[in-house]
Amino acid sequence: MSDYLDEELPSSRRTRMERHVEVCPTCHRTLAVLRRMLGSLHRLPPSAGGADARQIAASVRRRLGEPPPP
Amino acid sequence: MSPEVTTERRLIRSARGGDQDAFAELVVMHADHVFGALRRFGLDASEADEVAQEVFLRAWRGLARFEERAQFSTWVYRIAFNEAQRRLSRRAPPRVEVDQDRDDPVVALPEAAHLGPEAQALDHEFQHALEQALGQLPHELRAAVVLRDIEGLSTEEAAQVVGARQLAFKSRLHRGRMQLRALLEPYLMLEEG
Repeated sequence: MSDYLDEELPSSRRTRMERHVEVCPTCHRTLAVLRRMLGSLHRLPPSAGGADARQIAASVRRRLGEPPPP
Repeated sequence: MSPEVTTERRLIRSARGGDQDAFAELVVMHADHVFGALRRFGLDASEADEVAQEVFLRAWRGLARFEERAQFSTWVYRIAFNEAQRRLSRRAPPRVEVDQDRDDPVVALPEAAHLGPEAQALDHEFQHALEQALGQLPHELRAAVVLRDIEGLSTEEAAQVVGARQLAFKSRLHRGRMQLRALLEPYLMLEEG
């Protein structure tokens, strides 16, 4: 089902899957729920307590000359 | 080739030649994503900040080994993933608790890409539930969902990051998605028919 959602199924298996989903209420519902869930995952905002990229870069820049850890 | 890719390649070549400012620019370009992925792999904010710095320091030291066939972002995600797993492996695994009888209010999740104010509020509430549920997944499955479905890597790139074959990665991703679905089922009311 994940391969179907990611459009990574070969066309013959994709067609078989589509035919099955049309007649199977359980798979139809699972697929609909997964679609909505993936849509929400794609829309998630940047993680809370976000990073200040310039601050991380400044800290890294200062440490570039440090010897590697043993 | 996009201007961003051209700029990135130029910065990588300069950094390989020892240009620290060029490398700092690369850090600015990728720090948000690395930090975000580390947080969602399961590290807290201060740990993710510390590990993000370590990730880029390792990248700096290993720049000579970076092959430009891969994307720089995939390479740093891989370093971040390894470091996060090293830290998370010392902790007890999260417990997945799917309570089918819970009485939580059911939220109709909006589907449209352009959401009105009410739908935005519902989406915000669902996003909170989503983050909570993500935190309950085992580390390995969570990382697969984070890389593929949140960070937007292709299956091939995400499999490279976690050091797995594509088939094994797909299996993890599917298991992660199905566990997440089970945890979120009470929030996902769909109009039938």
